[in-house]
Amino acid sequence: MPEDHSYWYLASYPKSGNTWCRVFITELLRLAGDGPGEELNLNQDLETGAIASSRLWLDDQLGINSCDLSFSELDPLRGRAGASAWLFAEGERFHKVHDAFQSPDSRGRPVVSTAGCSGVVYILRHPEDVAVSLSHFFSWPLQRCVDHLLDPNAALVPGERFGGRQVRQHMGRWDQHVRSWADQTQLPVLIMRYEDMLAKGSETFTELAAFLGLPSDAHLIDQALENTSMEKLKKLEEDVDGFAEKPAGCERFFRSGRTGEGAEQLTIEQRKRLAKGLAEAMKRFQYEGPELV
Amino acid sequence: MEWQRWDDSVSDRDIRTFVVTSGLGALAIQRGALVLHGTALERDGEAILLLGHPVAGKSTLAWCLLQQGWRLLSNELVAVSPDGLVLPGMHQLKLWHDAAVALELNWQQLPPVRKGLKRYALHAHDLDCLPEAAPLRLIYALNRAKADSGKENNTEAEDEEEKMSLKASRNVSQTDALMRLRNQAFHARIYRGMDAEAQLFMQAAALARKVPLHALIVPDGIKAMAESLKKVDLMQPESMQQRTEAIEEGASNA
Repeated sequence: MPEDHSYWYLASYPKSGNTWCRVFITELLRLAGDGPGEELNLNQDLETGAIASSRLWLDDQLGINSCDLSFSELDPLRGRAGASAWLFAEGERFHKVHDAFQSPDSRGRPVVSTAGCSGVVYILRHPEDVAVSLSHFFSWPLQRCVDHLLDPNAALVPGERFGGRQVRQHMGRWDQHVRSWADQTQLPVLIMRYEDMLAKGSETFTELAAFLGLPSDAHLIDQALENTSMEKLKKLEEDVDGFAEKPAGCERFFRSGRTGEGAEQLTIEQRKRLAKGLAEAMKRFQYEGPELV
Repeated sequence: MEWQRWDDSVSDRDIRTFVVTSGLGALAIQRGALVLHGTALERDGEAILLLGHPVAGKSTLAWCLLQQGWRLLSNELVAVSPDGLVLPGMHQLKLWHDAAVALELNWQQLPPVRKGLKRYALHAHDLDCLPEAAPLRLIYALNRAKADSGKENNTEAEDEEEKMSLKASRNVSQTDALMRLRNQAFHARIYRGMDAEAQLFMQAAALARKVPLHALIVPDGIKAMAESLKKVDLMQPESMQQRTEAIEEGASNA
Protein backbone atom coordinates (compact mmCIF):
# COMPACT_ATOMS: atom_id res chain seq x y z
CA MET A 1 0.00 0.00 0.00
CA PRO A 2 1.49 3.34 -0.95
CA GLU A 3 2.00 5.63 2.01
CA ASP A 4 -0.21 8.68 1.98
CA HIS A 5 1.66 11.65 3.40
CA SER A 6 -0.76 14.29 2.21
CA TYR A 7 -1.94 16.75 4.81
CA TRP A 8 -4.36 19.64 5.05
CA TYR A 9 -4.89 22.74 7.11
CA LEU A 10 -8.13 23.68 8.77
CA ALA A 11 -7.62 27.41 9.19
CA SER A 12 -9.87 29.93 10.88
CA TYR A 13 -10.02 32.88 13.20
CA PRO A 14 -10.60 31.38 16.68
CA LYS A 15 -14.20 30.48 17.56
CA SER A 16 -15.41 30.13 14.00
CA GLY A 17 -16.27 26.45 13.80
CA ASN A 18 -12.83 24.88 13.34
CA THR A 19 -13.29 22.26 16.03
CA TRP A 20 -16.72 21.32 14.76
CA CYS A 21 -15.20 20.79 11.34
CA ARG A 22 -12.43 18.66 12.85
CA VAL A 23 -14.94 16.58 14.81
CA PHE A 24 -17.00 16.12 11.67
CA ILE A 25 -14.01 14.84 9.70
CA THR A 26 -13.10 12.46 12.51
CA GLU A 27 -16.67 11.18 12.67
CA LEU A 28 -16.93 10.81 8.90
CA LEU A 29 -13.73 8.76 8.83
CA ARG A 30 -14.93 6.71 11.78
CA LEU A 31 -18.24 5.93 10.09
CA ALA A 32 -16.55 5.11 6.79
CA GLY A 33 -14.06 2.79 8.52
CA ASP A 34 -14.43 -0.88 9.33
CA GLY A 35 -16.80 -1.63 12.19
CA PRO A 36 -17.11 1.82 13.76
CA GLY A 37 -17.53 1.70 17.54
CA GLU A 38 -20.54 3.01 19.36
CA GLU A 39 -19.80 6.67 19.82
CA LEU A 40 -17.11 9.27 19.36
CA ASN A 41 -14.96 10.12 22.42
CA LEU A 42 -13.99 13.77 22.18
CA ASN A 43 -10.83 13.46 24.24
CA GLN A 44 -9.54 10.27 22.68
CA ASP A 45 -10.60 10.15 19.07
CA LEU A 46 -9.87 13.69 18.00
CA GLU A 47 -6.28 13.04 17.00
CA THR A 48 -6.56 14.55 13.58
CA GLY A 49 -3.24 16.36 13.92
CA ALA A 50 -1.34 18.88 15.99
CA ILE A 51 -2.25 22.54 15.94
CA ALA A 52 0.33 24.28 13.76
CA SER A 53 1.37 26.54 16.66
CA SER A 54 2.09 23.70 19.11
CA ARG A 55 5.46 24.27 20.75
CA LEU A 56 6.08 20.58 21.20
CA TRP A 57 5.36 19.92 17.55
CA LEU A 58 7.53 22.83 16.38
CA ASP A 59 10.44 21.78 18.58
CA ASP A 60 10.21 18.34 17.08
CA GLN A 61 9.90 19.65 13.53
CA LEU A 62 12.70 22.18 13.78
CA GLY A 63 15.00 20.09 15.99
CA ILE A 64 15.59 23.01 18.34
CA ASN A 65 14.21 24.27 21.60
CA SER A 66 11.84 27.01 20.46
CA CYS A 67 12.00 28.56 23.96
CA ASP A 68 15.48 29.74 23.01
CA LEU A 69 14.07 31.88 20.18
CA SER A 70 12.03 35.07 20.34
CA PHE A 71 8.64 35.00 18.64
CA SER A 72 9.91 37.31 15.92
CA GLU A 73 12.80 34.93 15.23
CA LEU A 74 10.49 31.97 15.23
CA ASP A 75 7.88 33.24 12.75
CA PRO A 76 10.16 33.18 9.68
CA LEU A 77 11.26 29.65 10.60
CA ARG A 78 7.82 28.22 11.17
CA GLY A 79 7.04 27.83 7.49
CA ARG A 80 10.09 25.63 7.14
CA ALA A 81 8.91 23.14 9.70
CA GLY A 82 8.28 20.17 7.56
CA ALA A 83 10.54 20.87 4.61
CA SER A 84 11.77 17.33 5.14
CA ALA A 85 10.01 14.31 3.70
CA TRP A 86 9.12 12.75 7.06
CA LEU A 87 7.08 15.76 8.04
CA PHE A 88 3.88 14.41 9.50
CA ALA A 89 3.41 11.24 11.42
CA GLU A 90 1.11 8.82 9.67
CA GLY A 91 -2.51 9.53 10.36
CA GLU A 92 -2.04 13.11 11.42
CA ARG A 93 -3.50 14.72 8.40
CA PHE A 94 -5.67 17.66 9.40
CA HIS A 95 -3.93 20.47 11.19
CA LYS A 96 -5.74 23.26 12.93
CA VAL A 97 -4.35 26.77 12.41
CA HIS A 98 -5.50 30.03 13.97
CA ASP A 99 -2.57 32.14 12.74
CA ALA A 100 -3.00 34.43 9.78
CA PHE A 101 -1.15 32.98 6.75
CA GLN A 102 1.71 35.43 7.33
CA SER A 103 2.85 37.47 10.31
CA PRO A 104 4.57 40.87 10.34
CA ASP A 105 7.71 39.01 11.45
CA SER A 106 7.59 36.20 8.93
CA ARG A 107 9.25 38.25 6.16
CA GLY A 108 6.49 37.64 3.67
CA ARG A 109 6.65 33.90 4.14
CA PRO A 110 3.76 31.83 5.41
CA VAL A 111 4.00 30.78 9.06
CA VAL A 112 2.95 27.28 8.12
CA SER A 113 4.71 24.82 5.90
CA THR A 114 3.30 24.64 2.40
CA ALA A 115 5.61 21.89 1.12
CA GLY A 116 3.58 18.77 0.43
CA CYS A 117 0.38 20.38 1.69
CA SER A 118 -2.69 19.38 -0.29
CA GLY A 119 -4.73 22.44 0.58
CA VAL A 120 -6.53 24.46 3.17
CA VAL A 121 -10.09 24.66 4.37
CA TYR A 122 -10.73 28.19 5.56
CA ILE A 123 -13.71 28.57 7.88
CA LEU A 124 -15.20 31.95 8.64
CA ARG A 125 -18.09 33.16 10.74
CA HIS A 126 -19.94 36.43 11.20
CA PRO A 127 -17.56 38.63 13.22
CA GLU A 128 -20.37 39.71 15.55
CA ASP A 129 -20.93 36.08 16.54
CA VAL A 130 -17.19 35.50 16.81
CA ALA A 131 -17.08 38.34 19.35
CA VAL A 132 -19.72 36.69 21.53
CA SER A 133 -18.07 33.30 21.33
CA LEU A 134 -14.62 34.76 22.12
CA SER A 135 -16.13 36.45 25.13
CA HIS A 136 -17.33 33.14 26.57
CA PHE A 137 -14.15 31.28 25.66
CA PHE A 138 -11.67 33.73 27.16
CA SER A 139 -14.00 35.19 29.80
CA TRP A 140 -13.43 38.63 28.24
CA PRO A 141 -15.98 41.46 28.19
CA LEU A 142 -17.62 41.97 24.78
CA GLN A 143 -15.92 45.32 24.34
CA ARG A 144 -12.52 43.69 24.52
CA CYS A 145 -13.55 41.08 21.95
CA VAL A 146 -14.71 43.78 19.53
CA ASP A 147 -11.40 45.60 20.03
CA HIS A 148 -9.59 42.33 19.39
CA LEU A 149 -11.37 41.71 16.08
CA LEU A 150 -10.39 45.21 14.96
CA ASP A 151 -6.80 45.14 16.20
CA PRO A 152 -4.22 44.82 13.36
CA ASN A 153 -1.75 43.44 15.92
CA ALA A 154 -4.11 40.95 17.52
CA ALA A 155 -2.40 37.73 18.47
CA LEU A 156 -2.76 34.87 20.87
CA VAL A 157 0.37 35.38 22.92
CA PRO A 158 1.33 32.92 25.62
CA GLY A 159 3.48 35.62 27.24
CA GLU A 160 7.15 36.30 26.90
CA ARG A 161 8.00 35.77 30.54
CA PHE A 162 7.08 32.11 30.72
CA GLY A 163 7.02 29.30 28.23
CA GLY A 164 3.68 28.36 26.77
CA ARG A 165 2.51 25.17 25.18
CA GLN A 166 1.89 27.15 22.05
CA VAL A 167 3.93 29.82 20.35
CA ARG A 168 2.55 33.23 19.44
CA GLN A 169 -0.23 33.14 16.87
CA HIS A 170 -0.56 36.39 14.97
CA MET A 171 -4.06 36.94 13.64
CA GLY A 172 -4.28 40.64 12.92
CA ARG A 173 -7.58 42.34 12.21
CA TRP A 174 -10.41 39.91 11.36
CA ASP A 175 -10.61 40.95 7.71
CA GLN A 176 -6.81 40.74 7.34
CA HIS A 177 -7.00 37.20 8.68
CA VAL A 178 -9.72 36.32 6.17
CA ARG A 179 -7.84 37.82 3.24
CA SER A 180 -4.51 36.28 4.22
CA TRP A 181 -5.98 32.80 3.69
CA ALA A 182 -8.66 33.47 1.10
CA ASP A 183 -6.35 35.36 -1.26
CA GLN A 184 -3.11 33.41 -0.87
CA THR A 185 -2.19 31.49 -4.00
CA GLN A 186 0.25 28.91 -2.63
CA LEU A 187 -2.35 26.39 -1.49
CA PRO A 188 -5.69 25.34 -2.96
CA VAL A 189 -8.37 26.73 -0.68
CA LEU A 190 -11.97 25.86 0.11
CA ILE A 191 -13.78 28.67 1.88
CA MET A 192 -16.64 27.63 4.16
CA ARG A 193 -18.96 29.95 6.03
CA TYR A 194 -20.03 28.73 9.44
CA GLU A 195 -23.53 29.94 8.63
CA ASP A 196 -23.66 27.61 5.61
CA MET A 197 -22.33 24.71 7.67
CA LEU A 198 -25.36 25.22 9.90
CA ALA A 199 -28.05 26.15 7.39
CA LYS A 200 -26.98 24.03 4.42
CA GLY A 201 -25.17 21.21 6.21
CA SER A 202 -25.46 18.40 3.66
CA GLU A 203 -24.42 20.56 0.75
CA THR A 204 -21.55 22.32 2.54
CA PHE A 205 -20.08 19.23 4.15
CA THR A 206 -20.39 17.23 0.92
CA GLU A 207 -18.32 19.91 -0.72
CA LEU A 208 -15.83 19.66 2.15
CA ALA A 209 -15.57 15.88 1.86
CA ALA A 210 -15.08 16.11 -1.90
CA PHE A 211 -12.38 18.77 -1.49
CA LEU A 212 -10.52 16.63 1.04
CA GLY A 213 -10.93 13.47 -1.00
CA LEU A 214 -12.95 11.79 1.77
CA PRO A 215 -15.97 9.54 1.34
CA SER A 216 -18.83 11.84 0.34
CA ASP A 217 -21.72 9.38 0.16
CA ALA A 218 -24.88 11.30 1.10
CA HIS A 219 -25.88 8.79 3.75
CA LEU A 220 -22.47 9.00 5.46
CA ILE A 221 -22.42 12.79 5.38
CA ASP A 222 -25.88 13.05 6.91
CA GLN A 223 -25.10 10.48 9.58
CA ALA A 224 -21.83 12.24 10.49
CA LEU A 225 -23.65 15.57 10.62
CA GLU A 226 -26.31 14.16 12.88
CA ASN A 227 -23.68 12.66 15.19
CA THR A 228 -21.85 15.99 15.46
CA SER A 229 -24.79 18.33 15.91
CA MET A 230 -24.32 20.96 18.60
CA GLU A 231 -26.75 19.11 20.88
CA LYS A 232 -24.81 15.89 20.37
CA LEU A 233 -21.47 17.61 20.98
CA LYS A 234 -22.75 19.10 24.21
CA LYS A 235 -23.72 15.63 25.37
CA LEU A 236 -20.38 14.16 24.28
CA GLU A 237 -18.60 16.93 26.18
CA GLU A 238 -20.53 16.00 29.32
CA ASP A 239 -19.68 12.34 28.77
CA VAL A 240 -15.95 13.03 28.87
CA ASP A 241 -16.33 15.47 31.78
CA GLY A 242 -14.93 18.50 29.94
CA PHE A 243 -13.26 18.75 26.55
CA ALA A 244 -9.47 18.83 26.83
CA GLU A 245 -9.18 21.95 24.64
CA LYS A 246 -11.33 24.05 26.97
CA PRO A 247 -9.37 26.76 28.82
CA ALA A 248 -9.54 27.24 32.59
CA GLY A 249 -12.51 29.38 33.57
CA CYS A 250 -14.50 28.50 30.46
CA GLU A 251 -17.57 26.56 31.48
CA ARG A 252 -18.12 24.53 28.36
CA PHE A 253 -16.45 24.40 24.97
CA PHE A 254 -19.52 23.53 22.92
CA ARG A 255 -21.80 26.27 24.14
CA SER A 256 -24.47 27.42 21.73
CA GLY A 257 -23.26 27.38 18.14
CA ARG A 258 -26.15 29.60 17.17
CA THR A 259 -25.88 32.38 14.60
CA GLY A 260 -27.17 35.87 15.28
CA GLU A 261 -26.11 36.04 18.93
CA GLY A 262 -23.82 38.95 18.14
CA ALA A 263 -26.66 41.05 16.79
CA GLU A 264 -28.60 40.38 19.99
CA GLN A 265 -25.84 40.93 22.51
CA LEU A 266 -23.54 43.60 21.07
CA THR A 267 -24.49 47.24 21.42
CA ILE A 268 -25.34 49.10 18.25
CA GLU A 269 -22.11 51.09 18.65
CA GLN A 270 -20.08 47.90 18.85
CA ARG A 271 -21.83 46.49 15.80
CA LYS A 272 -21.25 49.72 13.87
CA ARG A 273 -17.56 49.68 14.72
CA LEU A 274 -17.24 46.14 13.37
CA ALA A 275 -19.27 46.95 10.26
CA LYS A 276 -17.15 50.02 9.56
CA GLY A 277 -13.79 48.46 10.28
CA LEU A 278 -14.43 45.21 8.42
CA ALA A 279 -16.76 46.52 5.70
CA GLU A 280 -15.08 45.11 2.62
CA ALA A 281 -14.57 41.55 3.84
CA MET A 282 -18.03 41.42 5.40
CA LYS A 283 -19.61 42.48 2.14
CA ARG A 284 -17.52 40.01 0.17
CA PHE A 285 -18.74 37.11 2.29
CA GLN A 286 -22.32 38.35 2.61
CA TYR A 287 -22.24 39.29 6.27
CA GLU A 288 -24.72 41.97 7.17
CA GLY A 289 -24.17 44.58 9.81
CA PRO A 290 -26.25 47.49 11.03
CA GLU A 291 -26.98 50.41 8.71
CA LEU A 292 -24.09 52.85 8.74
CA VAL A 293 -25.35 56.39 8.53
CA MET B 1 33.81 21.18 16.07
CA GLU B 2 34.21 23.79 13.37
CA TRP B 3 31.91 26.66 12.65
CA GLN B 4 31.73 29.83 10.64
CA ARG B 5 30.07 33.09 11.48
CA TRP B 6 28.11 34.34 8.45
CA ASP B 7 26.55 37.31 10.14
CA ASP B 8 28.13 39.59 12.72
CA SER B 9 24.86 40.02 14.53
CA VAL B 10 25.13 36.40 15.65
CA SER B 11 26.88 36.33 19.00
CA ASP B 12 28.93 33.56 20.58
CA ARG B 13 26.11 33.14 23.03
CA ASP B 14 23.66 32.55 20.15
CA ILE B 15 25.92 29.91 18.68
CA ARG B 16 26.58 28.26 22.03
CA THR B 17 22.86 28.05 22.79
CA PHE B 18 22.15 25.85 19.81
CA VAL B 19 25.46 24.01 19.54
CA VAL B 20 25.24 22.60 23.05
CA THR B 21 21.62 21.54 22.62
CA SER B 22 20.63 20.47 19.10
CA GLY B 23 24.22 20.12 17.90
CA LEU B 24 25.50 18.14 20.85
CA GLY B 25 22.37 15.99 20.90
CA ALA B 26 22.77 15.06 17.23
CA LEU B 27 26.44 14.25 17.79
CA ALA B 28 25.67 12.01 20.77
CA ILE B 29 23.00 10.15 18.77
CA GLN B 30 25.48 9.68 15.96
CA ARG B 31 27.86 8.11 18.46
CA GLY B 32 25.21 5.64 19.54
CA ALA B 33 24.04 7.20 22.81
CA LEU B 34 20.52 7.20 24.16
CA VAL B 35 19.72 10.91 24.40
CA LEU B 36 16.55 11.97 26.20
CA HIS B 37 14.83 15.31 26.62
CA GLY B 38 14.94 15.92 30.36
CA THR B 39 16.89 16.88 33.44
CA ALA B 40 19.04 14.56 35.56
CA LEU B 41 20.06 15.14 39.16
CA GLU B 42 22.14 13.18 41.66
CA ARG B 43 22.06 12.69 45.41
CA ASP B 44 24.09 10.25 47.51
CA GLY B 45 25.59 8.68 44.42
CA GLU B 46 22.30 7.92 42.64
CA ALA B 47 20.53 9.75 39.86
CA ILE B 48 16.94 10.55 38.96
CA LEU B 49 15.73 11.67 35.58
CA LEU B 50 12.86 14.12 35.05
CA LEU B 51 11.20 13.79 31.66
CA GLY B 52 8.56 16.10 30.29
CA HIS B 53 7.39 18.27 27.48
CA PRO B 54 8.69 21.81 27.17
CA VAL B 55 7.37 24.01 30.01
CA ALA B 56 6.33 20.99 32.12
CA GLY B 57 8.40 22.34 35.02
CA LYS B 58 11.62 20.33 34.75
CA SER B 59 13.97 23.27 35.24
CA THR B 60 11.95 24.75 38.09
CA LEU B 61 11.86 21.43 39.91
CA ALA B 62 15.56 20.99 39.26
CA TRP B 63 16.39 24.40 40.72
CA CYS B 64 14.37 23.59 43.85
CA LEU B 65 16.06 20.22 44.22
CA LEU B 66 19.49 21.85 43.94
CA GLN B 67 18.52 23.94 46.98
CA GLN B 68 17.91 20.68 48.85
CA GLY B 69 21.36 19.26 48.26
CA TRP B 70 20.92 17.52 44.92
CA ARG B 71 23.53 18.03 42.23
CA LEU B 72 22.87 18.71 38.56
CA LEU B 73 24.08 16.05 36.15
CA SER B 74 22.58 17.41 32.98
CA ASN B 75 19.77 19.64 31.81
CA GLU B 76 17.80 19.74 28.54
CA LEU B 77 19.43 16.70 27.06
CA VAL B 78 20.51 13.68 29.05
CA ALA B 79 22.66 10.86 27.71
CA VAL B 80 22.26 7.47 29.36
CA SER B 81 24.86 4.76 28.78
CA PRO B 82 23.91 1.13 28.01
CA ASP B 83 24.78 0.11 31.59
CA GLY B 84 22.34 2.66 33.02
CA LEU B 85 24.72 5.47 33.93
CA VAL B 86 23.69 9.06 33.44
CA LEU B 87 26.60 10.89 31.87
CA PRO B 88 27.40 14.43 33.00
CA GLY B 89 26.25 16.84 30.31
CA MET B 90 24.74 20.31 30.15
CA HIS B 91 25.54 22.07 33.41
CA GLN B 92 23.12 24.91 32.88
CA LEU B 93 19.54 25.72 33.87
CA LYS B 94 17.25 28.07 31.99
CA LEU B 95 14.47 29.76 33.92
CA TRP B 96 11.67 31.93 32.57
CA HIS B 97 11.24 35.37 34.05
CA ASP B 98 8.11 34.43 35.99
CA ALA B 99 9.84 31.41 37.52
CA ALA B 100 12.90 33.47 38.50
CA VAL B 101 10.65 36.03 40.21
CA ALA B 102 8.58 33.40 42.01
CA LEU B 103 11.74 31.65 43.20
CA GLU B 104 13.02 34.99 44.48
CA LEU B 105 16.15 34.96 42.36
CA ASN B 106 17.93 38.21 41.70
CA TRP B 107 16.94 38.10 38.05
CA GLN B 108 18.38 41.52 37.23
CA GLN B 109 21.80 39.97 37.77
CA LEU B 110 21.16 36.93 35.60
CA PRO B 111 22.23 36.82 31.94
CA PRO B 112 19.40 36.19 29.46
CA VAL B 113 19.68 32.90 27.57
CA ARG B 114 19.93 35.05 24.47
CA LYS B 115 19.71 38.77 23.96
CA GLY B 116 16.16 40.07 24.35
CA LEU B 117 14.67 36.92 25.86
CA LYS B 118 12.88 37.01 29.20
CA ARG B 119 14.54 33.75 30.06
CA TYR B 120 17.70 33.52 32.11
CA ALA B 121 20.69 31.22 32.18
CA LEU B 122 22.16 29.83 35.38
CA HIS B 123 25.61 28.52 34.59
CA ALA B 124 27.77 25.86 36.21
CA HIS B 125 29.45 28.35 38.55
CA ASP B 126 26.03 29.28 39.99
CA LEU B 127 24.95 25.70 40.46
CA ASP B 128 26.05 22.60 42.28
CA CYS B 129 27.01 20.22 39.50
CA LEU B 130 28.36 16.70 39.34
CA PRO B 131 31.12 16.19 36.78
CA GLU B 132 30.99 12.39 36.77
CA ALA B 133 28.51 9.68 35.78
CA ALA B 134 25.97 8.31 38.25
CA PRO B 135 23.71 5.22 38.12
CA LEU B 136 20.12 5.99 37.20
CA ARG B 137 17.76 4.87 39.94
CA LEU B 138 14.37 6.35 38.97
CA ILE B 139 12.66 8.08 36.07
CA TYR B 140 9.77 10.49 36.45
CA ALA B 141 7.51 11.57 33.59
CA LEU B 142 6.16 14.99 34.52
CA ASN B 143 2.58 16.05 34.04
CA ARG B 144 1.47 19.50 35.03
CA ALA B 145 -1.80 19.46 36.98
CA LYS B 146 -4.43 21.63 35.35
CA ALA B 147 -5.33 24.64 37.48
CA ASP B 148 -8.98 23.91 36.85
CA SER B 149 -9.05 20.13 36.98
CA GLY B 150 -12.79 19.80 36.77
CA LYS B 151 -15.22 18.18 39.11
CA GLU B 152 -13.89 16.45 42.19
CA ASN B 153 -15.93 14.84 44.89
CA ASN B 154 -13.59 15.88 47.67
CA THR B 155 -14.26 18.71 50.05
CA GLU B 156 -12.69 22.03 49.23
CA ALA B 157 -10.01 21.78 51.90
CA GLU B 158 -8.87 18.45 50.55
CA ASP B 159 -8.95 19.88 47.06
CA GLU B 160 -6.59 22.65 48.03
CA GLU B 161 -4.26 20.15 49.65
CA GLU B 162 -4.43 17.96 46.55
CA LYS B 163 -3.63 20.82 44.21
CA MET B 164 -0.57 21.72 46.24
CA SER B 165 1.05 18.32 46.43
CA LEU B 166 3.29 16.28 44.20
CA LYS B 167 1.84 12.91 43.33
CA ALA B 168 3.53 9.91 41.83
CA SER B 169 1.95 6.86 40.26
CA ARG B 170 3.11 3.32 40.87
CA ASN B 171 5.78 2.45 38.38
CA VAL B 172 4.20 2.10 34.96
CA SER B 173 4.41 -1.05 32.86
CA GLN B 174 7.57 -1.65 30.85
CA THR B 175 5.66 -1.18 27.60
CA ASP B 176 4.29 2.15 28.79
CA ALA B 177 7.75 3.17 30.01
CA LEU B 178 9.26 2.24 26.67
CA MET B 179 6.75 4.38 24.78
CA ARG B 180 7.31 7.33 27.08
CA LEU B 181 11.08 7.07 26.79
CA ARG B 182 10.85 6.83 23.04
CA ASN B 183 8.56 9.86 22.91
CA GLN B 184 11.04 11.85 24.99
CA ALA B 185 13.99 11.19 22.72
CA PHE B 186 16.06 14.26 21.94
CA HIS B 187 14.85 14.69 19.14
CA ALA B 188 12.76 11.89 17.67
CA ARG B 189 13.16 13.47 14.27
CA ILE B 190 16.93 13.51 14.50
CA TYR B 191 16.88 9.79 15.28
CA ARG B 192 14.66 9.26 12.30
CA GLY B 193 16.78 11.42 10.06
CA MET B 194 19.86 9.42 11.04
CA ASP B 195 18.01 6.19 10.44
CA ALA B 196 18.59 5.35 14.10
CA GLU B 197 15.04 4.58 15.20
CA ALA B 198 15.75 0.90 15.72
CA GLN B 199 18.70 1.85 17.91
CA LEU B 200 16.47 4.19 19.92
CA PHE B 201 13.83 1.51 20.36
CA MET B 202 16.33 -1.09 21.60
CA GLN B 203 18.01 1.36 23.98
CA ALA B 204 14.71 2.64 25.36
CA ALA B 205 13.47 -0.93 25.85
CA ALA B 206 16.66 -1.86 27.72
CA LEU B 207 16.34 1.18 29.97
CA ALA B 208 12.63 0.49 30.62
CA ARG B 209 13.56 -3.01 31.80
CA LYS B 210 16.28 -1.73 34.07
CA VAL B 211 14.90 1.44 35.69
CA PRO B 212 11.35 2.04 37.03
CA LEU B 213 9.38 4.92 35.56
CA HIS B 214 6.67 6.78 37.49
CA ALA B 215 4.26 9.43 36.32
CA LEU B 216 4.64 12.55 38.45
CA ILE B 217 1.84 15.06 38.75
CA VAL B 218 3.31 18.49 39.41
CA PRO B 219 1.12 21.17 40.97
CA ASP B 220 0.37 24.18 38.80
CA GLY B 221 2.26 27.33 39.76
CA ILE B 222 5.93 27.84 40.62
CA LYS B 223 5.38 28.51 44.32
CA ALA B 224 3.15 25.48 44.72
CA MET B 225 5.78 23.39 42.96
CA ALA B 226 8.54 24.61 45.28
CA GLU B 227 6.40 24.09 48.39
CA SER B 228 5.26 20.62 47.39
CA LEU B 229 8.86 19.41 47.08
CA LYS B 230 9.58 20.14 50.71
CA LYS B 231 7.19 17.44 51.84
CA VAL B 232 8.43 14.53 49.77
CA ASP B 233 11.56 12.61 48.84
CA LEU B 234 11.96 12.00 45.14
CA MET B 235 14.15 8.97 45.88
CA GLN B 236 11.08 7.44 47.57
CA PRO B 237 8.19 7.47 45.09
CA GLU B 238 6.10 5.56 47.66
CA SER B 239 6.23 8.66 49.85
CA MET B 240 3.87 10.47 47.48
CA GLN B 241 1.67 7.79 46.00
CA GLN B 242 -1.89 8.94 46.22
CA ARG B 243 -5.03 8.57 44.21
CA THR B 244 -3.35 6.22 41.79
CA GLU B 245 -6.40 5.85 39.59
CA ALA B 246 -6.66 9.57 38.95
CA ILE B 247 -2.96 9.75 38.22
CA GLU B 248 -2.99 6.91 35.75
CA GLU B 249 -5.97 8.41 34.01
CA GLY B 250 -4.27 11.79 33.80
CA ALA B 251 -1.09 10.22 32.56
CA SER B 252 -2.75 8.34 29.74
CA ASN B 253 -4.23 11.56 28.39
CA ALA B 254 -0.86 13.23 28.18
